[in-house]
Amino acid sequence: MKPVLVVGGGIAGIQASLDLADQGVKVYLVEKTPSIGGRMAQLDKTFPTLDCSSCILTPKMVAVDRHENIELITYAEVKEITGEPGNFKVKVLKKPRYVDVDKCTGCGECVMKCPVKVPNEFNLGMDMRKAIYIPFPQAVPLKATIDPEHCLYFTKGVCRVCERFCPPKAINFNQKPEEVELNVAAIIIATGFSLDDARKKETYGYGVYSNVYTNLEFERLLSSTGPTKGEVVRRSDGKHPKKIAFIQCVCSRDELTNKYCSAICCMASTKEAILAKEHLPDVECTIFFMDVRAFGKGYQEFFERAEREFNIRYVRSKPAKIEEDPKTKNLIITYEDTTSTKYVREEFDMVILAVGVRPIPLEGVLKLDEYNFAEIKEPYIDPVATPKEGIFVIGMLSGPKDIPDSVTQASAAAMRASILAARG
Amino acid sequence: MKVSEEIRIGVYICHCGLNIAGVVNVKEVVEYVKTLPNVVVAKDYVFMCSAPGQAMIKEDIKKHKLNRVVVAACSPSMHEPTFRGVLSDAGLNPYLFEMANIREHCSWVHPDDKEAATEKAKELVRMAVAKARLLEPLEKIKSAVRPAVLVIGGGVAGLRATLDLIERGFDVYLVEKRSVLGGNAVKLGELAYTTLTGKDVVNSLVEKIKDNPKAHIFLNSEVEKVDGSIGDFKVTVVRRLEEGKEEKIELNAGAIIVAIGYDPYEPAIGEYGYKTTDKVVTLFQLMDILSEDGPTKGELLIGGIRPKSLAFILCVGSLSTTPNAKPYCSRMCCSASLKTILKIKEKYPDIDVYVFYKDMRTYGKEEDLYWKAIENEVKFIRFDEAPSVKPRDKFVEVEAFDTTIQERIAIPVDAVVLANGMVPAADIEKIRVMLKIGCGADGFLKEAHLKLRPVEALTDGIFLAGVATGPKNIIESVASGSAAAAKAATIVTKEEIEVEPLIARVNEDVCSGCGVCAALCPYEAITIEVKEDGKRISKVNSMLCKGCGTCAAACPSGAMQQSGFKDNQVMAQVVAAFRGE
Repeated sequence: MKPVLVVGGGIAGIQASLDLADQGVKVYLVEKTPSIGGRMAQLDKTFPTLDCSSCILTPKMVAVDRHENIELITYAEVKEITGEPGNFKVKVLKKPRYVDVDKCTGCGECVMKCPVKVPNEFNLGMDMRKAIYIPFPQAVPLKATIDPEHCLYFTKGVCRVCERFCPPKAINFNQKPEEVELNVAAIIIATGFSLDDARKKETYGYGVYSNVYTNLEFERLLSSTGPTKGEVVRRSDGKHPKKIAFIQCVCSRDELTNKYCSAICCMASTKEAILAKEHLPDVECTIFFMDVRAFGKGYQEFFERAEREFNIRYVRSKPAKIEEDPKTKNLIITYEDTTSTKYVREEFDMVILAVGVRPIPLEGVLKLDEYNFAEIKEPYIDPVATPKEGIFVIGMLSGPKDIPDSVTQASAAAMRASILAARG
Repeated sequence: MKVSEEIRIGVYICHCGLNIAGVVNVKEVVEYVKTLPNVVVAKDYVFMCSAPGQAMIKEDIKKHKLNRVVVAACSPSMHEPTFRGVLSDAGLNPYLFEMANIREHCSWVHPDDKEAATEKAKELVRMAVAKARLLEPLEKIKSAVRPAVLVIGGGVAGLRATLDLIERGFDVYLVEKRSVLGGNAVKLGELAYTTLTGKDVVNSLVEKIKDNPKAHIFLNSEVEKVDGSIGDFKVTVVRRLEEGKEEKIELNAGAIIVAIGYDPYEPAIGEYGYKTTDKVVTLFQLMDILSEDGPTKGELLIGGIRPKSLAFILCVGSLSTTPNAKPYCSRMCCSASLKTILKIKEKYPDIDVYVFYKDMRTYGKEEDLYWKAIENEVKFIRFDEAPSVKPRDKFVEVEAFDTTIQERIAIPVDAVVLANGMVPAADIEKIRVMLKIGCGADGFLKEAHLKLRPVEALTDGIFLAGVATGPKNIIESVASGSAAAAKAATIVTKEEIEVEPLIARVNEDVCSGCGVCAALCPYEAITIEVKEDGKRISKVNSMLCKGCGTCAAACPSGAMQQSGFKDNQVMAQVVAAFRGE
């Protein structure tokens, strides 16, 4: 049995690792950020079951950490892949955390004492973290990391407060980047996605109007571990919104940005509208959409329930523009209701943009299409195998897909990779 | 553990973000729990299942010498295994753990009465503590694993699963009821973005399987009976032979993959004019017509003529468009229709094509088919109310209220294609009952968890692939075939498997051998044995017992006890619920 490398610690990478490890295959799971969890860790609840995202994800994260066959390499990047199926050589660069992970207990004392505040990427910059930080409460591994771009010691040569207060003396400012070489039989790439830049859709005013949000920002607002501890309030005045608009297909199904459909946003917005109603029972929610793509198991039923039980209003229209009332910071949407052919100007006090997804490819390894999605050699016969034998891609990287499809692909790639591992 | 040992219980109350803490006053529950006898420590935390939550429990077990742990959080079906693992890691027997469900049983159902919900949470925890005092350590039951897998269904999903498992080195018994492999895919003609046909895909998989000695293919065969459980299923296959004869084959498999596929939705007679004229065909029929080895050798002929205009009606049999239609979306029909239209346009550029649709669901990268259809001047008409199809002398008229232009329109066409969806396979109920696995409201097989366990059945050792769980296209079905194979491999790669010890056990000194339990057991796990001295006693097969508790409830003498739910443990909970502490 030879090991397998999994790149990316989101739900797809996690599932692939577990399915390999449970077959007795040794796995190296390499994650770029300080914790595994990926996008799913940022979601409040998941459609169509409304399961709390953390509740179903964290056990898997902990299982990865505990599994004797999985070696978790976080805060590290794959630099080079050479070799052939059954015998790949992979160079991985481990970035210095400046914290000795064997000593760090994750107590958070250093975080409390650190004087430097930095926009918190986990909450999409809507609140601040410290220069030494643990990305989110359920992080795995639960270890602190120093961000050298903002740490006073690295920028100005002073401070070292964390070092003074750390109970187990885990701070080590002298850590250096470390390169490790792995020898693996197969590689599964699950580097996931980010949202496209909503500012590309200038007429919607994201980044200009304070009460226009991306859907991922709204997930964080809904979440108890988010910047407002689960309070849905407006950026402009901290007040609860009374009327929220969700606009679908922002940077998706759009000739000027991405022509493809992002596959997850119809259901995500439906879910977010339901959750908004649960947080604020009197809020009115309207979803502007082109087609309701409720294609997965239980999705149509979920959409119908949103309309019937939660009184979510669906308007078949792609709005033309958003304007802001400078006094109230409310937002006026101009749209054509295509089912009545009327032009309407309607005021809302919060707008959520369902922004399209963009893949995050691993540079230089994969054959990519015009949108950077990884190409599959024979999709109908082996839907997770790339043209380069022994290298598999799963999740959003090969095309927009939801969690069940990503998880299914993850198990599929684990199967395909385990065959090479067993031969090695 | 000594019987006289002092009972020391740690109680942990989870906020579950705001799921619990938004309704239940968690701090108040903690303070209350501290007053209960034997509770040594009580704490709360935002996510008890997270690494820091688990670490806290582990540390307390050592620091406070805990010998029982109670977690008040979500349903045990979610996190009981997580917390049992915590106890194991801390060196405590994992069955000295009890869970109180204060989310599904409390905060989620009482969001409007926070005070009462808090009181109820206290009572639920009090009951759990009462039971925890009486918990006993248990050991998992081990049994040997048969290194072979049974795959039911030889469509693309079953073929892919078979190929993966034989390449991984396991014997596979592939049981297909028809005389050929390939299922529905063989009739789908050319596929999107390729000149490969459904048949090519099937052939390419079959080629790699058929001569491999690890693949044992049973055609014209059906699984008749399945006994046993994870690790060692005992399977009876019936193979139909010539002249109406049949043979029975007994097999043993460590895991089972169910890939029984689907049936195309068959419209009712008269539904959109179906079967009232030969100018109305289903999409599945059209794809067969366009196949090289179909009835017209690939020539587009409908009702004997080569149509100059075609209307496609989508959501036939789906989205409740007609009284007969299913409520769900069949997922693949939008893309399959557009793919077929583009292939037709390529071959017959002069054909006018109209698509009547409700929602165009070309999700993900398949949106490209929609762009291409628009570029190819396919005309799209959106409806809310199902269109009507009226056969005329030389043509068919399709009439609908077009919601985009807000007008009722009628279009005469030479032929109509009904994009029919997928329905559960005809024999799904038989398979479901035989394997004791679940179905959802849509009639498809139910997965253990819709998001995170999409290819696992609720019964251990049984996995689900392809359209058996719900509509999928070929690519998605093939992926789920490999995924189910991976799950089966996690079992058959092991020499022995561990199963939960939460099963029924007999106290032989008390049992009178009356046989009530054996008659009631839904899993045929109990037999009555006659001992040498003539005494009759009940015997439980620990691998077959699912721990449902029916026998323990029915036993007149109390001889049958359900481990983890013994009479004294359950009674202590009941007393705690009604009498308080």
